[in-house]
Amino acid sequence: MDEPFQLEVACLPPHCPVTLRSTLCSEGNDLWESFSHYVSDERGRVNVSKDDSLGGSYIGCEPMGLLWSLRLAVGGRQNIRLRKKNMQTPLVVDISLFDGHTIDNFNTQTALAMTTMERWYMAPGVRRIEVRENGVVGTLFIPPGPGPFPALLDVWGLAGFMEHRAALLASRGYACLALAYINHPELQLGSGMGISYFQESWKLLQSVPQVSADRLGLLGSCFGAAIFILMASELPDISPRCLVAINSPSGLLNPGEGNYLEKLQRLLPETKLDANGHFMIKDAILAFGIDLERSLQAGGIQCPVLLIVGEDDQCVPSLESAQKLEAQMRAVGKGHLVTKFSYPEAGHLIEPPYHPVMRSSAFNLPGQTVTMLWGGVGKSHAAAQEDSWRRILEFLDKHL
Amino acid sequence: MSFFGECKRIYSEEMKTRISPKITAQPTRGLVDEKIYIRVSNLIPNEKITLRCLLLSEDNDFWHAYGLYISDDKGVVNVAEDVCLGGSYTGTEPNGLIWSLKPVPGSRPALRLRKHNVFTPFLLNISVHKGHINGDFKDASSLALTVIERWYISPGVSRVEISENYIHGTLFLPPGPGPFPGILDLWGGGGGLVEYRAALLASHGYASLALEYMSTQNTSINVNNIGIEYFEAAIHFLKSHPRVSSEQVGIFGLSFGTSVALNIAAKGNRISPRCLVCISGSHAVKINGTIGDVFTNLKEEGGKIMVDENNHFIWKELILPRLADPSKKVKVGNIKCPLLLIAGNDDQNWPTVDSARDMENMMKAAGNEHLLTTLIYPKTGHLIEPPYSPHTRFSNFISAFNQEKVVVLWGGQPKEHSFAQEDSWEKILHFLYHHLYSSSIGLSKL
Repeated sequence: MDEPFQLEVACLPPHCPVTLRSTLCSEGNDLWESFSHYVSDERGRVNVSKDDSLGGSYIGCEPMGLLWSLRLAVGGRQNIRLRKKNMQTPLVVDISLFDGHTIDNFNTQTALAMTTMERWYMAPGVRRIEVRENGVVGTLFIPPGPGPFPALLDVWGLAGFMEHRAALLASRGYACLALAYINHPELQLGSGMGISYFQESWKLLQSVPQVSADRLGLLGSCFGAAIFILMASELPDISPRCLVAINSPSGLLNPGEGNYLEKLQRLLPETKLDANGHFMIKDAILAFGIDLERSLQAGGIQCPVLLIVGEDDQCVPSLESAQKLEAQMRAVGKGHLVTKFSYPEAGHLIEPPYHPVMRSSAFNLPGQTVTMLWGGVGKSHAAAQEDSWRRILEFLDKHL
Repeated sequence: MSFFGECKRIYSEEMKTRISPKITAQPTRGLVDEKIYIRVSNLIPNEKITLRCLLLSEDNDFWHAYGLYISDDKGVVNVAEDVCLGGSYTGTEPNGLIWSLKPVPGSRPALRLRKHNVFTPFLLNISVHKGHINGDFKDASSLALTVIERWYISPGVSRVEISENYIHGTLFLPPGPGPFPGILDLWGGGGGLVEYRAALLASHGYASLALEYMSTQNTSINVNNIGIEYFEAAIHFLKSHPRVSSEQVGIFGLSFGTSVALNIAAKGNRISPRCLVCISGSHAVKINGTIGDVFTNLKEEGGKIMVDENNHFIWKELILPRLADPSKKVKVGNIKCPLLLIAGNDDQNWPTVDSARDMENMMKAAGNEHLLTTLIYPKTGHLIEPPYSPHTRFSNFISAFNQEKVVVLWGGQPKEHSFAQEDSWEKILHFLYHHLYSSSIGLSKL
């Protein structure tokens, strides 16, 4: 899924306007589509890796644009994130070629040509093991081979449990435990948020025979990252070799305090809405976290930290939070451990590369569903996903 | 930890302290004709290692290949660039671990690796082992392992079984509305329905019909009631298929299939192919009457059948005397379409190089030699397959004509034969593209 592809069209008349359209049918049976306009060169060829798109879902030279600019098709459900639950099957993307520069009604036209592509999260040989042990709920992905492998605990934010990044990391050589801690039907009520749960997960990962117990890291997004920062800073028995935090609110929130979903819900009435009626929760969190007593002290972290920041994050004040964390580490003489990559115009949902970019989508809170504004401007956000993934893999390779 | 306790393993002290070597192979999922790039890192600098590729065939035999390498100063082995010091191959061979695959010691003899079900991949386990191991991997545990999939079919290609109008075969269609150029895919005297090459051609954009014309099970496709009309019907079927562009249909043949292709092309009637790819065959097999007649004829009038020191059959002398008799040869001077002729000069099964030379002379005399391109490869045998099929110098063979079970000598040496497969395939794809795609209007290719 994180590998780029090359797309070429041949045997067209020279200087011929054409439209390339990509479609994908998700597991939820939603149709995603994207299209772009090109003109063939004097040899009748189009090379998506080199040529400029003149319009459509993206403009300019974007080799992977047909993937990251995928949007839910008009007429179907809207506002939903693209999520793959089954790691053992691929996402199938069809790419069709149409004559002329079309913008809609593709179904009424006949395509000139077509090709099909499979995008996988899991490489051949990677083993997927559902973990339900000692109250810990998650999925463990182990690379093929005898090991022992460096390992990672992987968590997401308050949206809940997702396996795809862990599957990708295992395909890159890391034993990775995707950990559920909220919103999972098999989690025992109440146990999801306790610190002892995370300690238990850590111990569990260390005990896996194929894992090299002294080469463990933590990788988290959003709220999950804040939890990991707390763990690494304050729990002496949790000693990761390195930590990656993507858009973490840790500088402003202490995840150790109670039920965060409820707190979020209480914040909602104070939250501003944007022009589309989408919730911009960032300012509310910012205001909430101004009280210094509330913020998490990260000074106890002993290992290298990689911070990935989307500066246009409208959900979490990611930049302010990262700056605060850096300051805290510097204050105790550990500033050199922090590496930060900050992406202007990237939003909250920094996913693995080529994931469709969504500026806002539906978010489930207990009792209600709202539309949350995540932020991020198409092209730049896609570039941030690509670049940050590369940085993350380099960082992990160096420290694990 | 009850769940994990059961699969606890003992690691050596050394293993626990060193960082695990890492092996990557790209692409992790690819077509069989794609090059692979294997890289090992996190090794000790200047460390001796052995790379091993292991495959379990559909017939339940293990095939393997191995190469001896030494890591560089950074502890890296890059198979595409580094020199292999021994094992199944030597030198800089990016894809050596695939094409040098052989049955593991102790296997049944005279095997050939072929894929029956194109909808599953070959799974290759590529492992790294400490030190230089000389072929015996029984006690060698690996340092690292990766798995790759090799497919004969790409996503989106559809498979259609054809048994209508008495032709029997499998049609592979590329994704999309078409129309596509078409290819009639013909194998040789082993008979049966062999699908993998047609599936691969469809993955490159050609509607390809793998045709069965010699079956031991299906009595309607018995060699005694099939003649040239059967193949013409197959071409007609392709030409009139709604997703095939009728002006762009060619024939791809190997061995006896090549002779069929030449016979059809020389007939010069309305069933005229746009181009021909002819591998390891001869024009000295004229088809008058049924295929059964042809084989009977060959046996009766043919030259000697020889065996080598291992009692493997050498059949190339069978057809050789026919080259001197014009009445036994296809009039290749009548061919009106471009022809790509491929032969190995160590072919022990058919006299393909002598035939190629004779064909060149005939076409020169008739004035159509500008249509002919000949590729002759040294130390290359009869079975010139898509890359990177393991080279088979001899194997079990059951003739579809008389169910004779023998071991046939095909010829060729692994390195040169594998090069021939790689080089010829690239030229074949280029040839097909040129004649079936780019020189036509109305077809675009993604």
